[in-house]
Amino acid sequence: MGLGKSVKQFFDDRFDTKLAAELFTKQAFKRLPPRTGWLHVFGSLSLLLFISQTITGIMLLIYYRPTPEAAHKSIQYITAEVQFGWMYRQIHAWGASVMIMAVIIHMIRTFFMGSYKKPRELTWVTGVILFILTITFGFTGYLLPWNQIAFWATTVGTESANKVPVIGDWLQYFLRGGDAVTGETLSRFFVVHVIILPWALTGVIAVHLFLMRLNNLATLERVDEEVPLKPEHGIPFFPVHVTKEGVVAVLLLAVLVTLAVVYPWEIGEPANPLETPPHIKPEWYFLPSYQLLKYFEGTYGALMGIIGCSVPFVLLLLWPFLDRGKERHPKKRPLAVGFGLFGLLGAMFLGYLGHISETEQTFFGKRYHITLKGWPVPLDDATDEAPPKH
Amino acid sequence: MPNDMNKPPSRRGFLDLILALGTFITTVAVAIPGLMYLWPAAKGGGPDKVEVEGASNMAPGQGKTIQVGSQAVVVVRHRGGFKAYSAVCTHLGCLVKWEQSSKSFLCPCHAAVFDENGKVVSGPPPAPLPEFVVKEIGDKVFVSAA
Amino acid sequence: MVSIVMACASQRVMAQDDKVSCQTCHVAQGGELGASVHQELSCQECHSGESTFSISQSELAKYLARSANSHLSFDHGQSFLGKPARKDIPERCGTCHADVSRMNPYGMRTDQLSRYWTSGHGRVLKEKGNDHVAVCIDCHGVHDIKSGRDPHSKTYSLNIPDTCAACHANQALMDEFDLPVEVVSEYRDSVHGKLLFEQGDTGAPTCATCHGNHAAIPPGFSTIGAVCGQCHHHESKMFATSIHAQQEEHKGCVQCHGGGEDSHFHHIERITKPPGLLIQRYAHLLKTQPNPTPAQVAKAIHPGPKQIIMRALPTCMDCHEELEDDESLPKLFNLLDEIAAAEQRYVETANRLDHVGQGVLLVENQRFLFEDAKTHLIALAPTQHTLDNEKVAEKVAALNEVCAQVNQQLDELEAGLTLRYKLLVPIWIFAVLFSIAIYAKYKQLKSQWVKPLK
Repeated sequence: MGLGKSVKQFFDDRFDTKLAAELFTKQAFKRLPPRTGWLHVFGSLSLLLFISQTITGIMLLIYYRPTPEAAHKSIQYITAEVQFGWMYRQIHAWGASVMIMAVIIHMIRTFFMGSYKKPRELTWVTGVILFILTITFGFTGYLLPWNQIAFWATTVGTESANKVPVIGDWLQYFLRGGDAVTGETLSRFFVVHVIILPWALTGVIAVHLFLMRLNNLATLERVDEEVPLKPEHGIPFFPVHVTKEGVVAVLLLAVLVTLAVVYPWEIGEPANPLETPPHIKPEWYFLPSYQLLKYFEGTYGALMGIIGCSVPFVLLLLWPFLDRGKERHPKKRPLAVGFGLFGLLGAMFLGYLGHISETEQTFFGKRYHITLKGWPVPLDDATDEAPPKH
Repeated sequence: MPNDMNKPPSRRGFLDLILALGTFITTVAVAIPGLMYLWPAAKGGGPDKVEVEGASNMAPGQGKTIQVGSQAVVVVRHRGGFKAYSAVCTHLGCLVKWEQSSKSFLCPCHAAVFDENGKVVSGPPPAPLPEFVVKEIGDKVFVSAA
Repeated sequence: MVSIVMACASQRVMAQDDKVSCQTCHVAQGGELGASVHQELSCQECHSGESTFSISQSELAKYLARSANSHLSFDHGQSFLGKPARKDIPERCGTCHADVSRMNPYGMRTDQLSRYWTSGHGRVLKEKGNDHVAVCIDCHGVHDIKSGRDPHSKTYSLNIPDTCAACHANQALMDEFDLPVEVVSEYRDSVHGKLLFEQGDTGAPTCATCHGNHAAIPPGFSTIGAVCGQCHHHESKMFATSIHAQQEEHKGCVQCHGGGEDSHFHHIERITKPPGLLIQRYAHLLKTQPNPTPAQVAKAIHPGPKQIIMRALPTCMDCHEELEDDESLPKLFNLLDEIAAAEQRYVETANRLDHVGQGVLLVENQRFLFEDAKTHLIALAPTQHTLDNEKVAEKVAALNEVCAQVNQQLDELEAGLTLRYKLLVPIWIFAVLFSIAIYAKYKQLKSQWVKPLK
């Protein structure tokens, strides 16, 4: 044991190891409120997914090449040639969607349980920033395989940037690194996706976790009337709560592998700037904004659309300062809960309309063509699509 | 530290054993694919680059069809060096053949003729044969898409 | 251009007793010449006469104000040839275009004139002296002659049918020569015309590709009907070995492809379709019919009655009335069914390859292999011209062989994917058991560490 002792001595001579150990133990064994249940795992699930995304992302970086000539080929190579490459790519691609879903559920939980109220307003604000960073992650990562869908979804996505008043054209030019989506765009998106966002997210997560630990988890008690937590009733983070998260982690891994095998993301055709495929749609988390933008036309309409899409995010950021009621329990906050439900259902409805727009759907046994704006137009059974002319 | 509750120690030990085993299996199951992933794959990545086998044995004027990625490519040795063109006729997509005697590519389907630089000499093709990039390193010859 | 010339001309008119050029009066012609391929030529090269004229302003005004019906003649100089008669035009153009020393700097051939005299147009002009036939200017223009590569040229491939139609769709003119007026409109509806006009394929044959441009028919062919082999090399070679080729009364290619009895053989049609189109039609079928029956596929890839000709056989029976109770007929039908089945297999394999390639597998080798199938499929059409069942069956077998190989390799690739599915079972068993174990541990730890509320 001589070696162990001298190593300990080495650190003791240089740091106050006792204090460090105390700080660590205090955090590790910190008692959480007794009613910390399964709904509370979505925060740490998001963190877990971020870690998974980081690891699989680094793995993919080994073989990925961010140039228009090689990007699609390298994805093909990863998927088809590298051992287990398909799995890392699929888990990374699916992980993005699952992570955004986890973040959204975490936010919904926080919203309806009133956890954002005093003194945790800033925790909520950093959380909303994390949400925005996460979907930016999704947007930038989507382009990297450089296939047709990615290329055109990005073209359409960055197109809406020029609707921003005054700086719109400049903003679009800046985002694309030129007039159109090109290799320059790929470089930019790549840098943002693998360098800037990971560190930005890490930093904000640190602040978010720090604030969360400072104030501990919220309960459903009224603001400023919280009953102090009796340590013996609290659930220690380690080793008790952490096992609960272990259950979630194991199941998450199985779910990700299953999604990777059963619903693989296709490689698709390589990007072709000269041919627009029909029905370009963004990923599911952009569908509500995508659909909302369709209803605003003309110069002022476009401006209204941009405002319409930004308002929900601004509202989310400012929400804790707008809703200063003392109640936390959802049953005692009908207005806030109603407002939240309205926003949530509205977004889901818009997203659904975006999903089915420009397709044919069957409702109550009748075929309908869904227009761009989501109106169903009954289809005449006799009309068949004309064969191609030749 | 809290007291042990009414659990017999053997049962606790068994659960811990299962957990340790589970953790071990999970770690291995994650680590092995990871290591296999990192091990370089048999075929290198990046743009397709194919070595022309037996290039040094080709006589000037001789041509041969090879595979580059999924594409058929004709490599021809000229006096000045090697040149490579897509073997897919730009008309309907039949595979053209190099005719050594006439120094031209001939498409069997509609008798189209391309000259040694892939330009259309006669017949219905709307465009010349796309050229492939040839790199000669020592006596090895590599062909890749432009 | 014209306005510049006019501006210059009016300036010149202002000057007292100035020397004026041809363009002072012949403004339009000057402008056209300036924009034409002959822009370096002067008027004298074709018309002779003086190049400049001294004339007072008042006199010039008289000429310029001349109305169309007055006959005030102007002295263009002694050598002036004036407007040549139609019958003299070929030789006039030939003074340069048949002169090697004149044409050499432009790298142009000089046999147009001599070839013209061998053509239908030239022979009627020379032998009968009838100048209602086409001479150089009818196809090339007069002062506004442009290069054949210029899209505004009368001889640009997309414009050639219009240029020919100017005469060949003129009823009065064609009656004089007892020729049909429908040929150009038939051509427009033919496979070649559609290629040219609908797909803008400038490589598609125009009137001149088969009929020659200056000469009557391309060299080396006895009749126009025989020129098809210029492009349809294999078809004509194979056809030559068939029993049809030995029949005196058989009209050759146009017998089956000429568009039927009441056409003038310009409505050239396909009977089978190229691979790309078959694949496209199959893809379109799949959009409305995800699981089509073989009959639906056959109908989708050859929708027109003409295109399933081999199965319906009406064209064959135009001549072979006795075929209806021929004993070889079932054998032929059987072969035609096999061709249809092979085509179907081809489109299905192409579709599968495309689908799998966009998924999660790499199918480069299979795509490369499949290129052969395309060549076999295209070769299947010419082979049918031999009317030799065995040769056709050989090609069908070769096509089937490649499709089978590709499908087998795809099966093997996809088997790898099924293995992944199977692996999910132990993964889930493990995940569920392990999470139950962790949960048990959680319960255990909670009861150890946490004092229950109340």
